[in-house]
Amino acid sequence: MVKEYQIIARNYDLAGRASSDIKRTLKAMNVPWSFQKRVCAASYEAEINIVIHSVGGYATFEITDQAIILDFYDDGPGIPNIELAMMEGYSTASELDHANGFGAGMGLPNMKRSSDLMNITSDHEGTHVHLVFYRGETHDQ
Amino acid sequence: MINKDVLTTDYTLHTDLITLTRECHGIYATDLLSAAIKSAGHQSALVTLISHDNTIACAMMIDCPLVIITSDRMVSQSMIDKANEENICLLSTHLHTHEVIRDLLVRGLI
Repeated sequence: MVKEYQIIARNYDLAGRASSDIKRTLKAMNVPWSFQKRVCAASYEAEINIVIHSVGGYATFEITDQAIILDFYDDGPGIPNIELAMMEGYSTASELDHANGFGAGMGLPNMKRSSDLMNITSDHEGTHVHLVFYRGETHDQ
Repeated sequence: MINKDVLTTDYTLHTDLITLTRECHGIYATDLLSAAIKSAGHQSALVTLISHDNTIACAMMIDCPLVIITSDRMVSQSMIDKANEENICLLSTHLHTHEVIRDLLVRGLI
């Protein structure tokens, strides 16, 4: 099964909509809570990153027998320094983002910590974050 | 603790009465939603001054049965609607976050 979600830049009211649907799907599948939390934590962070930092994008959510696979694509402006962005606490978020509870600089580190596999590519045309969560693994936090 | 145990004159209930029947296991206080997603335990109550639809989205993500909005922050109707949809109890209070924690501790709820 593959689902796709549009993510709109700067729209805080709809932020989290994709992740909420993913959460409902995983809950309906009765997967363990710790696994749900890992997937949803990473998904929410990736979704919020697109809302805050990009001009918009989309996400895909795929369920296979072996894994949950999430892909997040946006249309730029890209991450100038991925290594820096991966450091906990580093953030380029605005005051508005902070007022909404975001921009702590924990997004990418949380995604890496939560997932079993994370790949990120970025240039000025956009960013792609690929996250894999292997089913049956015991990667509890 | 059961959500209804939290209610005193210091707290205002915004959601349906049924949400008071849910049970919390622990409490997590933060104004960073990423921190809540990272660290809050299963079915913890969330105490925060971030009053936004995303607070409820975040609470839903971590199966949080109770959200307490502190420091007299306004609670919007869309937050209330979302919380009711997810059966999350939404309270607000004039107390600051640290005062809520102290209050719950003194009353033996945590």
